[in-house]
Amino acid sequence: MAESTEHTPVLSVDDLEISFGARPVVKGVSFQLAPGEIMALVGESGSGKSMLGRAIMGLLPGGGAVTRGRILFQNQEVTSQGSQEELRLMRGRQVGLIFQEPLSSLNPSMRIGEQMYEAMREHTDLTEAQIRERALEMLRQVKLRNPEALLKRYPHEFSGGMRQRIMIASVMMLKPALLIADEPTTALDAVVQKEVLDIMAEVARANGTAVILISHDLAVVAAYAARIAVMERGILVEAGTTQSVLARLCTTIPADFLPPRSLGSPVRSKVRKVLPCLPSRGCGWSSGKSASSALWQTRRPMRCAMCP
Amino acid sequence: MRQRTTNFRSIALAAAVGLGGVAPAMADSMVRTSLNADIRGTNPGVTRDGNTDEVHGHMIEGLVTYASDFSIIPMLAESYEISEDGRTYTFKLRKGVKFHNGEEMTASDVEWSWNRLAGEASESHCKNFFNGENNIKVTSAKAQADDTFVITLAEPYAVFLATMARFDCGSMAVLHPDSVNADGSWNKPIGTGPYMMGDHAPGRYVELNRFEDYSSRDGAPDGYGGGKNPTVDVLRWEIVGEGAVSKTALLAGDLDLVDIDAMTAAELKDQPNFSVDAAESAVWDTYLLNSDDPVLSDVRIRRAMAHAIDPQRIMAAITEGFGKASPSPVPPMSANYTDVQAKYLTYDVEKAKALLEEAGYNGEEITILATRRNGAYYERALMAQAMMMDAGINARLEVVEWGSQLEAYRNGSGYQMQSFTFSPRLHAGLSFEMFTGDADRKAWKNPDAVAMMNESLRTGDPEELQAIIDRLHEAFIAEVPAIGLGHRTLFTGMSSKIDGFENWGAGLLRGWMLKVKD
Amino acid sequence: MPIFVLKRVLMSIPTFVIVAVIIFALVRALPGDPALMMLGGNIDDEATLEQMRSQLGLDQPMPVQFIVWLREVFSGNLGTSIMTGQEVGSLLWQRFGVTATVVLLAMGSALLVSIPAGLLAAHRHNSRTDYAIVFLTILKLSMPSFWVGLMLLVLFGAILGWLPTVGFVSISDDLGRGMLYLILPVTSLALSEIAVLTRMMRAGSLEIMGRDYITHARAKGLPERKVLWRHVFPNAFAPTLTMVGVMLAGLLAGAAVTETVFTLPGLGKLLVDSIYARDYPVLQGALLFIAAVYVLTNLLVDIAYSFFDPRVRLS
Repeated sequence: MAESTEHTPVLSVDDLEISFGARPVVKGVSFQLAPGEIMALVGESGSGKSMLGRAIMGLLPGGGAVTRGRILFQNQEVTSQGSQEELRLMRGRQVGLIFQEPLSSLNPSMRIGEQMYEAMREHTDLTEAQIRERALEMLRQVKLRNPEALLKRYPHEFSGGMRQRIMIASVMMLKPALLIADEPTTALDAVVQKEVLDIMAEVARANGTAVILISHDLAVVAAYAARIAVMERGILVEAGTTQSVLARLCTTIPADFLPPRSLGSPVRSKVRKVLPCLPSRGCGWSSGKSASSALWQTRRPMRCAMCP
Repeated sequence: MRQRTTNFRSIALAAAVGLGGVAPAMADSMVRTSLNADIRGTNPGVTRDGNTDEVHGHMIEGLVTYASDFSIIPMLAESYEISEDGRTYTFKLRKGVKFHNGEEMTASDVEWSWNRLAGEASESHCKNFFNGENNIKVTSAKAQADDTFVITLAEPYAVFLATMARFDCGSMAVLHPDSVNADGSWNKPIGTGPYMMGDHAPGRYVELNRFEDYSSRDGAPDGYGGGKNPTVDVLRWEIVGEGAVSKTALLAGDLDLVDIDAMTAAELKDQPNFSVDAAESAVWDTYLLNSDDPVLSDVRIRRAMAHAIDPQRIMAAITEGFGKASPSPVPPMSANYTDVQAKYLTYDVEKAKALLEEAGYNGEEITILATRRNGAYYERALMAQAMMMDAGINARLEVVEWGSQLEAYRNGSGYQMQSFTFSPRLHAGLSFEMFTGDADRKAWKNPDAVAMMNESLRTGDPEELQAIIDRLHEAFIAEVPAIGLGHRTLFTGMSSKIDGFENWGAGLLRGWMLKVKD
Repeated sequence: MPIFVLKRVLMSIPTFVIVAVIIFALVRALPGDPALMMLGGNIDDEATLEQMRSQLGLDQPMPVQFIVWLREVFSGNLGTSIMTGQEVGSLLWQRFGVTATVVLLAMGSALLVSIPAGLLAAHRHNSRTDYAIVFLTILKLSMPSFWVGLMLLVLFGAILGWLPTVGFVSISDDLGRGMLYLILPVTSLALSEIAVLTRMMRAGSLEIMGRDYITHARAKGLPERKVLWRHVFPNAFAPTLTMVGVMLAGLLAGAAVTETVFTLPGLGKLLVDSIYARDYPVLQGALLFIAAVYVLTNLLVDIAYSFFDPRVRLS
């Protein structure tokens, strides 16, 4: 692992603009991330949060480009990095990426083991036996049973939650300094979502990895993040500590979504079941435990001064 | 360009040798030609078809054969005599004729061979020509002495010798008895011909090797007989299904001698390293008319059709100007082709229209059956249709597959008019017989015509024969059971290294005449 | 897997019985008489025709002919050819050997070209390379294969004189010369296959390249080459493989046009010739054999498919 002090941010995004053709999708975004810090990046779909994540990896899809500003990863500029090769070596080794759709983020025609070993082979000089040992250790860390047998199996033999845990194990094998988790649990049901997030946070903590947790569902991710940034139409509309952002948005976190005490959630306030406020109704109380996510998608978050 | 071609070729050949390590022995001279389908077998007169006969014809000979003018000449016989009553044929055999296995031919071999094809147990269709099924009945065929073979007929029959000489019976091939295994099964042809069986790779090629000890007749080659002095060591027929491919192979120098169509002939004619031979054959291109058809049963309609069709123009078109019309079924090279046979119903649209009106023709549809087979069946039908339309006949073209057309032909029904072709008949009487008679397939069933035709096959008197043929031809023109077009021009394309090639009316290759220039 | 194969083979037996009945009926329903064809239309007399028909067993009633044929099928030799008197079983096997050599070589070289070409076109989507590849495949697809074959023959045989135009040497007899005779037919056949397969491969790759696991493979820091070969190729190849199976079965059943142009004694040429000659035993045998080729090829493709796509279970 690279040497990092408390004062050097692992990631520093400065006045970033990403455009597709002439159309900017991310405008003037700036933030910093300290080593080991978990930050939630929330916003509805199309807000530019995923593009931001891709830009940090240097993996913008065809037609997209950084048109202004810069991204510094461990004081190295990602955007203007000289060679594609350096960027490639940074990927996987220093920065890991986990996708939202566990069903499509693993190669269906390749055994789990192979998919896990690949990056290790590419980035380390470890022997096959060492790599395998490391893979097994990671699978144990994500609490999968019988990891030896698992290595020989194919993705379609696993449930979504298990696949996402395999993804976490696979990405975290290299102990990256930064993990970008793009909607890692959206496709999962609520109980499994929490399980996976718990494991991810735990593994990140254990390895000292900073995490950008990208989601459209504030309630789900807020509890894991020290800071929250909210994006809307390519602009950062809200940023600050979790406490302050939640307060400004009149949102608290449903109990079901709180991480276990062992993880030491930054949210210590008394739990109330509160949903993001709506312009029509103001803030409302939730009746169920997992009704929150849909609402954020359809209504933009309001600063509601009149909330209780 | 040819020069460059040669250079590249030698490179490719060198590459081939380098790769394979085995070079073909080039010491022997070889002529490579093509067949459009493989031979059916090696048993002359039994496993045969047109292609196969051509290959067999190099290995085997009979007592008699056809001359260039289709008269009968002795081949393995030194001479023959016909008794006064016309029933007994006595053949004196040539001396010192050797089979491919080195043994000398005797009359007992001739007798054995005769029985093989014409005997009761024969598998050959040829036996039907001699067992009374078709007029000729042979009562005995025996070796009388070592050099004498005698055949006796129940009744005299003029075309007996011509029937013996038939290509599809290998001229009643004389073979050594070892051609057959002890159990009676076929082994290989041990004949007396100038070539003997070589390599046969089914579906790929057939090779014949020159017979070193061939005993030739004296004199020049004549038709399928005369002196044969083969010089080419190996004759090789490649099986090439597609005409365009054999043409390309000729141009590439991979084939030396190829049957080509008129268009290719016109194209090759002026190229420096190739030569083209165009020869009129005895193959008759014609339109058969179905006189049983309600519309065509009126002779005036049939005559109108004949007047509407211009054989000169059609023949010129399908032969690229090389060929000419000869509407009589009797081929021009025949001794029986005279001024009478040259007559036909000439192209005259006005006459055609007048005849149609007289017959009360009222636009009834007349269908022309044709196939897209080699031999311009389709093109001939197409042109006839256009010409008939010009004369006001409502003609329609129906294109079918060859097998289907053949069935319509055999049944004598299911067609009104069809573009058809007859293979060479080497006797003027047989030229009429091929479409005259009682059988369903025959277009001309008029009893008078059938009687005349039968008479022409019986008579042994040349003058009488000519008189009958003339009468038959006049009747043919008057009744129009078919509209003759011409005798097909056969084109052969050759590399300039081939010498000695001559085509003839029967169209069968005579490899023994070929020479390869250095 | 062995149980799967055995089951499939057993399942195909009733298929074959039905196919045999259909083949027999269809072949007999063809207009035209083999005896007549054999005499080349030169029927001089009915007796000859009748003799020929009885020699060929065509004078027997249909059900008797069918049973005679079935007996020959079960004896394995499938009867003898009317045309050449050869045993149909060994004839088919011989001809199939030629066809299979050409077809497999062509398919092999086609895959060697079209997989990288398709991947490359997809990788450089909408680039000049991509357009060039797409244009060439469309160009080839719009040219009739008979014409292309003949042009190859004219160019390399007649004009350049590098390769032989007629004939065939089996590679088991003489590898070097045999290959020389195979170059043009294999090229001609491969060109058509390349056109189709490159397009399949390109379309498949484009679809796969949009998948998350490809982005993920890149995010792992894999070099592009490995992303393409390890992640895009196996997944994009599955639909192409289905196409390969369909094409392969069709071609193994006889590449008649190619065989005709390049004078190859293959199964396709045999089939066409036997249709024209109404050579019933060969025609029936060839059709039955082709049915078997289809069943077998499909089986092999299914097995291969399971290799590329583990989600497909062989059961």
